[in-house]
This record gives sequence, structure tokens and C-alpha cells, in this order.
Amino acid sequence: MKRVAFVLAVFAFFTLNAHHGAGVYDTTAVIDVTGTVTEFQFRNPHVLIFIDAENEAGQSVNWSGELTSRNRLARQIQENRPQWTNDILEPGDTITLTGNPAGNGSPFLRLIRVETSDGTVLIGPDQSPAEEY
Amino acid sequence: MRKYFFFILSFLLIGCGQNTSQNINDAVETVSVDPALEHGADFSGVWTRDNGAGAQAHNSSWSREIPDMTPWAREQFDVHLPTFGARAVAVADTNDPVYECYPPGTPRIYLHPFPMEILQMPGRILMIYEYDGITRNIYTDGREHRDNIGVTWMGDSIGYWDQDVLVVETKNMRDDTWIDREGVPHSEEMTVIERFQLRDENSLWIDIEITDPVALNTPWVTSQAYQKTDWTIEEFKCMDNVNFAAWEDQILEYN
Repeated sequence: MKRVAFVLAVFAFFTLNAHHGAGVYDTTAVIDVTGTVTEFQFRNPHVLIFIDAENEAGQSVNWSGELTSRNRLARQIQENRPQWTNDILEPGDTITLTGNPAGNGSPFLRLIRVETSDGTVLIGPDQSPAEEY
Repeated sequence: MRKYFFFILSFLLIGCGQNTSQNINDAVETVSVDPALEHGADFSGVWTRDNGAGAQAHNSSWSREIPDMTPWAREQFDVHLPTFGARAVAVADTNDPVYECYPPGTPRIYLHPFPMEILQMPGRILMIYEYDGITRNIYTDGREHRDNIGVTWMGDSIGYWDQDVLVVETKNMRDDTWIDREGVPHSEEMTVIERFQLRDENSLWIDIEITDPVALNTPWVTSQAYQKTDWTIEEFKCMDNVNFAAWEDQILEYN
């Protein structure tokens, strides 16, 4: 259920999130977090996804991640990816979030990629850029 | 956040206290439309930024180098805390007026990555920007600038046709907006000239020249490119940022 892998990576998908410049996230790191959706906010200015994931001590941690705006995701901004709607994710779904972690180590992500448990990539590159080390 | 609510409160109070629409209407001369002025190109449609078209603008500014600023502008630039560029800070630390829901102004509106719709009608071109539902009226009926009603966020725009190029001149803008998203200031003396032209029916190119005798030593010359889409303009309100800021505060305050 859980896989949290840190890696140093330079990744060019940051245009997904145009709201911020820097400061909150560690843009040199990319991690994967797999868990169960607890909440999905399909709204502007940033779509938010909340999941419960187990940490290495076996405790459940609620992670959340931000994507680009509802408007952009609803327009299918990436070829070969589905057009997002307000029911594309539902509580209970198992998904893997990939993104830049918060610089202070808190469970927040600037998302680069979202993959469902059946392997469907909802947004982002075909393969996760997070590599275990 | 408190500042933001005071802003809303003062807006409501001012709105209740007086009705200025009559004065504004009095100031606008009604000009009959000369059909000879109505030619050029058809820019109608919904347009989204074309980052691959070679325009000089990028995500947060009009050029990779900062413009040639006067000491007056440099002093303000130095205390501006943008969220983009080499001097970027976290949203919680910024003093970018847009994060308090002030309109971005002209020409900065083009640096916000949202589509825009252009509607052409006799004597007038209406620009609808998805970002915060901002609109600009560009009058092409031969009228002059309205120099007697003060300054506004998006300015006062008049346009004319240079063959198939639409030339738009905008003046009378408030000086509390930034020219870009990296903190470059301007004065109320700023003039923005936009030249709109179609490279093909689906490609819009806008050359932009920003002059400001108070803030810039030399004009800031740049460009922005758009491609036509089949999208509709959706709602995107700055007010929603308040919800988002609460989420982001949780990151900073996390223990």
C-alpha cells in the first residue's frame, strides 16, 4: 500500500502548477505516495487530492496534493489522458500520487502525476519520475 | 488575509455610498461609427497561449532580462516580493497585489496562463479574459482616450486598423499593478501599445511595447502568441484563492 521514495530529479512538468514560483516545495525532489482517496476537491485555482497512506512505522498519514486548475484539467490539457470531471476520483479509490514534496517534510505534494490502481495515468508522464535510491 | 477583507469591505461601502455611473456616461462622447473604420482581420474566438510559437514572453515576465528601470522604479522593484523569477518567495511571503485579488492590469493579464475570448463588433472589440473574468473594451470607433475620468486597473483602450493589424493604445492605468509577475513597477504615465495580427487563421500574434517615462529608461518591447481553441471561457475567480491559501497555510504551519 505504501511506497515513499525520494529521489533527486530535475523534471520539466512544473507548468502544471502555474500559481507558485518557489518556496513551499522542494523542486529538486520527486516522490511517489500510494494510498486511499479520502477527499477530492475539483475546484479552482488548484484541484486538491487527499489520500491516506501508511508510513514506514505502519501509521496512517493523510497526504494532500495540488494540481493545476479545474478549468485546465477539464480541458484535457494532455493528449492520451482523460478529460477530468468531478467524479474521476472518489473516496476509497487506491491511487499513486507523484510530486515534489514540501520542503519542510510535511505530507503535501505539488503533483506531477496521478495513477489509478489499474495503471491508468490520469495526468503526467507514462512513467513516474520518482526513482528509489 | 485581514487586508483582503478590508479591501472587500471598503469596496462595498463605497459602492453603497454613491453612484458614479452617470458621471462616467457623461464623460463618454457618443461617436457614430464610420464603416470605413471597420476593416482589418477577424480575431473572434477563444485563444490560449502558444508557448511554442517563439514569442518573447515567458511564464512570468516579458523577457528573460529585467528591463532598463529608472531609479524610481528600481527602488520599488527592490521591495517587491514576487512569487516568480530569480527573486521568488513563497506565496505566504509575497506582496504581489494579485494575491490580494487586485486585477493584474494591462499588459500583465497576458502573463496569467488562462485563455481569452475576443468578440468583435462595430466600433468595439471586447476581450474577455478567463482569469477572474476580467474584460477590456477596445473602442475602434475613432474616439480619443478619456483623460477626464482618472485611472483604472485595466486602463482605457482605443484601437485602429493598420491594414489587417489592429493597433491598440492603452493609457490611464493605476500604478499599483505590476507590469509582470516578477515585480516590475510602472507609473500612471505608462502607455501600452499592442499590435494584434493573425499569422494564420488559428495563430494570433501580439507585439507589445511598454513605455513609461517615470519607470522605464527605454521601452520594453516584447510579444505574446496565442492559438485558437474550441474551448469555452469558464469561471475562474480570484476569490477561490482564499480557500486555497488556507490549504497552503497548513503546509507552512505543519508540525
